[in-house]
Amino acid sequence: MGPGEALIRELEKKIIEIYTRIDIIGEAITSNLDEETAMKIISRMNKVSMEKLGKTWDGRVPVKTIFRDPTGKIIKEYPAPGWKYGISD
Amino acid sequence: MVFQINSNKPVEIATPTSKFKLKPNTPYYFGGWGVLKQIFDTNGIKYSMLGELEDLIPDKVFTKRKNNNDMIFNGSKILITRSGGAGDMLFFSPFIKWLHDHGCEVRLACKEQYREVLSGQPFMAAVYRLPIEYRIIKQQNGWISARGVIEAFKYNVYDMLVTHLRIPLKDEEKRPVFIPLDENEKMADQFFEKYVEKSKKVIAVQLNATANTRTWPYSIPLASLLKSHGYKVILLGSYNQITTLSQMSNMNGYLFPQLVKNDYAFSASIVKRCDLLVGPDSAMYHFAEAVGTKALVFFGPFKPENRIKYYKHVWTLSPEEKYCVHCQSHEGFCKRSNIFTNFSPCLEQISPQIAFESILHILNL
Repeated sequence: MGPGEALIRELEKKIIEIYTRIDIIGEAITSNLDEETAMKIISRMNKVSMEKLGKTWDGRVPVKTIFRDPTGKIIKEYPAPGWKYGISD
Repeated sequence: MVFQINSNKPVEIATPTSKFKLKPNTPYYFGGWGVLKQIFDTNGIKYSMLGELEDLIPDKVFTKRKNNNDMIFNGSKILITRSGGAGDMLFFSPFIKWLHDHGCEVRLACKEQYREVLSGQPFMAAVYRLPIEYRIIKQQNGWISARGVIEAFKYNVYDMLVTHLRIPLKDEEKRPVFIPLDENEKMADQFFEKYVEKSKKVIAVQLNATANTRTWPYSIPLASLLKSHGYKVILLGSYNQITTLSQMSNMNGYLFPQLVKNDYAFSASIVKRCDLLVGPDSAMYHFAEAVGTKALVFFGPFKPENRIKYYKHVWTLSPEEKYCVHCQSHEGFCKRSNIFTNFSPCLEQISPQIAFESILHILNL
């Protein structure tokens, strides 16, 4: 794994963490939980989510990604990723 | 649905996206009636349903008539109601321009947050908010609704509207029409002068779509990758999202025009000055097409051809048509998404590296 890919993986983890937090904080606050309790739940959820994400992706069938220009012409077909780019290490 | 509040006092209503006040005993029309009905029922607000517009004003329904030529004349007043998003307003724009060019005065009623999209456009007589008073609709010569048309399966949205409205646009006209406003142009110039080095390529990255089903998960990792390769990155997103992200992670070095002026029309002026827009199947690439900026768009739930068949500036990345793509889902979240991330699996597999490589291809043309 090159340094670029390591950086990407790190950033992916970060952003998924952020989105997860935003959603859960939102839900927790609308459920009248205080922020401290919400954060406790989030840290526990994050642990679970790491495991869950890996498992869920096993069941999916990755496909090629097609890059097309404005006329619809295929410029390149990228191979199926095999979920390499997720956080399921 | 046309309805009225049975009350002696005005009633303030808050939907998930806007707030408005309804006058007592005044008939209104609202496209997204289901949402409003739920709010009324939940809050114990008494109301009467007066009927669907199709039944109340059948002679003014533009789209149900076999021949609508008698509605297209100088000074004819046409009202379009649409409760969809910003992109929907732009889908209508070439049709509104066509009607305007044929002498009609076209007005639009849409959700409050999307009024800015076509306000001030030279072909637009007025833009109202929904709910709209029924009396305003009755004053028009014709009423256009396109419920269920824009999201029709298989077909391109502009082709569908041509058939539905019987407005004979040429293929080269089946593109959004948007003219940046002078005020926004000046402000965008100032923004670029202040924050953007002239020597750098500038790439705007739209963070998310309104629905998570269409949101590409890796906009921030891609932005980081672009930044590390010397590009200037402008992040486009909702005010709340950008402020939240900028507080929660290291966002130094990115530009957030929404913090200057939180609207679509201003973002369009920003995009006009960029070398490329990268984003999900959402509003901003329609603006990019209109102002002539190249765009790279990630398609998953919807087929690219449904949207961009006639566009000239949009490159696409989309999964091949096999398992679980192009479901056309408009749900908030994909049913197959992981409950912790909520991203659509079809979009999750388009990696930042693939996007980056594609961006280099477009920029090097």
